[in-house]
Amino acid sequence: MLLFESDKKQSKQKRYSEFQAIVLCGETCIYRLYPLTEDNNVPKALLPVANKPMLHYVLDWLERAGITDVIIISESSGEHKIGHYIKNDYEGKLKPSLEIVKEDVGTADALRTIKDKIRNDFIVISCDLILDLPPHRFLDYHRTQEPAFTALFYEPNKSDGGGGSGNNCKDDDLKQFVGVDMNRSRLVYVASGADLDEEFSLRMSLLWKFPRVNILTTLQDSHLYIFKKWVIDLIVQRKSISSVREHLVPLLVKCQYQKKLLEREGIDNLAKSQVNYQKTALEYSTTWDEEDEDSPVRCQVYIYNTGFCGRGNTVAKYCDLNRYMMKISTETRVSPSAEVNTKTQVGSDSFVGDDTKIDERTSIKRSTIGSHCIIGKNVKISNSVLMDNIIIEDYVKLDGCVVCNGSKIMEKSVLKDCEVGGGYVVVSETQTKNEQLVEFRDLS
Amino acid sequence: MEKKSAKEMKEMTKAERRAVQERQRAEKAARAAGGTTTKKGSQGSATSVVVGSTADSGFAHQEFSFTPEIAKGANTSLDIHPAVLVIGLQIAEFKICGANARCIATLTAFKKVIQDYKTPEGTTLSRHLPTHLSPQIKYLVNSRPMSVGMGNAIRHLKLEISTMDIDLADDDAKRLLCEKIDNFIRDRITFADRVIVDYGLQKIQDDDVILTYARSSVVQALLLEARAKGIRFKVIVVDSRPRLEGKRLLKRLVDAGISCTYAFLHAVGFALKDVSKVFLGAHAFMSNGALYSRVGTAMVAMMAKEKNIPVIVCCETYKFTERVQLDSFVMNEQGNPDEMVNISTTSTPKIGLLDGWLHKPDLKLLNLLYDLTPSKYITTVITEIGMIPCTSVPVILREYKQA
Repeated sequence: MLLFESDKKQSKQKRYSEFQAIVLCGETCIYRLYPLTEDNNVPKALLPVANKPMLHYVLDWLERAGITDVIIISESSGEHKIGHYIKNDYEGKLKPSLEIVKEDVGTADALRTIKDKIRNDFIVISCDLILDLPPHRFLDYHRTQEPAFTALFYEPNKSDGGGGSGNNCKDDDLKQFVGVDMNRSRLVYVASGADLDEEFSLRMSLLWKFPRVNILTTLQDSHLYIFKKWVIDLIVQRKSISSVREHLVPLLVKCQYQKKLLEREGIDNLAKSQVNYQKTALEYSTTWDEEDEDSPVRCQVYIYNTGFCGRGNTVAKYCDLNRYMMKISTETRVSPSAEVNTKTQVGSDSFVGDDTKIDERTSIKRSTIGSHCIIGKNVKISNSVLMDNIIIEDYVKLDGCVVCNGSKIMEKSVLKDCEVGGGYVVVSETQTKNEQLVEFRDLS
Repeated sequence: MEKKSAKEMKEMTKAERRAVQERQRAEKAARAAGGTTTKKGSQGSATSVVVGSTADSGFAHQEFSFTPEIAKGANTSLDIHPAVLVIGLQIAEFKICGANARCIATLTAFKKVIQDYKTPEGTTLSRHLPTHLSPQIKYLVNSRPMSVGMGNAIRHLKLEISTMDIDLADDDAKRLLCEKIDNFIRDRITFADRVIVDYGLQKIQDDDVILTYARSSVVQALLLEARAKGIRFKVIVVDSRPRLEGKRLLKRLVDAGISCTYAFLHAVGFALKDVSKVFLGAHAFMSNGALYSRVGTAMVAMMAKEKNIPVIVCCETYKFTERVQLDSFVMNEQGNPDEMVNISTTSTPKIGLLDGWLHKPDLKLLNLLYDLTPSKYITTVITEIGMIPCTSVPVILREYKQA
């Protein structure tokens, strides 16, 4: 026995937080996901992908990146549900804090409201992003070059098609023109297809600085950025910057070659305020070029085309995400508390949630079914996403549909490529294609 | 066998690339074993195998198996300070290259680590801080083997920590340590460089033609200072692939108004025709007076000696080491062999004949970073304590130890 017990607990060194993460759960452009994000369903961040909310995948990625300081920004409409999820259902190790902003506020405006909480370089990530890029690669990329910001652009995978009525959006307005200097991985030009008519112009100063530019239309912005700390000061100063993607990024990209813009907006002072403490070392380095010091603003781009990356901001893309997760997920497919009749066929790539009852002679292919659902006999569900608390009666056929919480589909209905809103009752023997079935709400 | 594009290879970390190469080497070895090989014999005694030999399939693997691997994404469990993490990445990617730059960068990063450090209960700073720094140092060594100067600097730092007064408060001790680090950088690198430049200026006269190899921070400072003093001289910059560091030196000198010539290493015999002096930089100096510097330096020094041109090395004393090395192979660092495939001299890559070397069974690429220049080729060494013959290096080391 020891004479005196030494205190075994050695106080650990505090974890050095190098980056902070900000998850944006805003609902801008909700018409793209209509009717999945109506009030009687769930906010976008909690839409289930393979029976886990989309927010889970983002938080999981951040956890793997080793980031401990996470702030989730949500609109007031989603406050309760997202708060409830974080407190109760979230299973990871992070302890995110939740901030609320007003409705219909731009992404940069949302960042402005929490400016006091941002103390380091920060990562801005949208809640609907799922990617299998190992996080350290992207972070290491930023760490080596130390630019003003690093953006992740990806090549979208070919969609398998199907899922949702396709009524919501035309993909054309999401097309982007991205100009990249491939050798130095610099982002030099960014414009969205909607803003340009038939031609676009490049400034000569851009070409003087970056003689070889590749303009790509195959890239999509993943809305995953790592910004240096002084960028938040810029957002605070310039109240006209309302959206990260539409205002802030193009502004910083232009500052790389437009000296006058740099000075006019006062950005050069801001950028120089965050001095690189390794300045001396870099000056001694044999690989250091003087032109590296030319502009204080550098915008790096990381092009990811070797794996999967997807955003769930339209119904079609949301279904793609589900299909992807169905293919690769290693979670248990059929929940142990679900009651699946022996005569039913549940495909090997389908998910069945807790407490769901599936009756005999039903076949479920390439679909995810949420919890507490009741599915009747002889039902054929393929390529669909069903959320929680759904009742499906006998002899129903669903193909490529998205069915929201609490809805009911009565017997012998055949729905193809439809979206059923929350709480809606599809009367028996309905046969529809490419429709959005939503409960009528008296808006007066 | 899948062909990997050059861009894909670059995106993998060094560890993965190494794994891919090892796997493909193993496949090749398996195939070679099936066929008839007569070269199974020489299982490489370290010095006998020479670069030019028709490749023994195990050559590069056995002799130069000290390939660096970057710790992958393991930051969450190892608790590496972000400053050290960034440095490790930048050094491994050759963004910070050169003995002085790496040393200053490491010491600055460690300053940040010390500033953020908090002594845990029940132990003292002088006992716990070295154990706290060890994983950081190991991480740096993993990303790229340390330079000799860095090793000396860290040894000096550890000595300072261990002789720290126990009674000092945490904050005072940390402040004192940071001061000591600053002093080391100032005295042994920054001011040392200025003194070396002063001594070196005595050696540059009007109408000199000076030859220099690759890019040394001290030699660059010396040439720029000589120009500022108004001395009329010309410079020949000799450069080599794949680093092409001389190009950046050339730009700097030309911007300062010095008239320069640029040549590659293969032309050094011709370039030495009218040269009056050769100035070289150093990575380290061995106790037997041998110079350990960028690969190609030995060739330049040897050729200059043949033509009786004085070879002057500018080296700070913190780069002196007690090691003795007789040739370039016994201890060296291997770079990424894929760098040799790109034969472009501009920023746009241009793939040469060596593309696909992984698939050619008899071809191996060796990208050495350093070489050894024997002392007989060096005329004099300029250090901050004066101009000494290179055989006096152990004397200097002894003096510093006694001090």
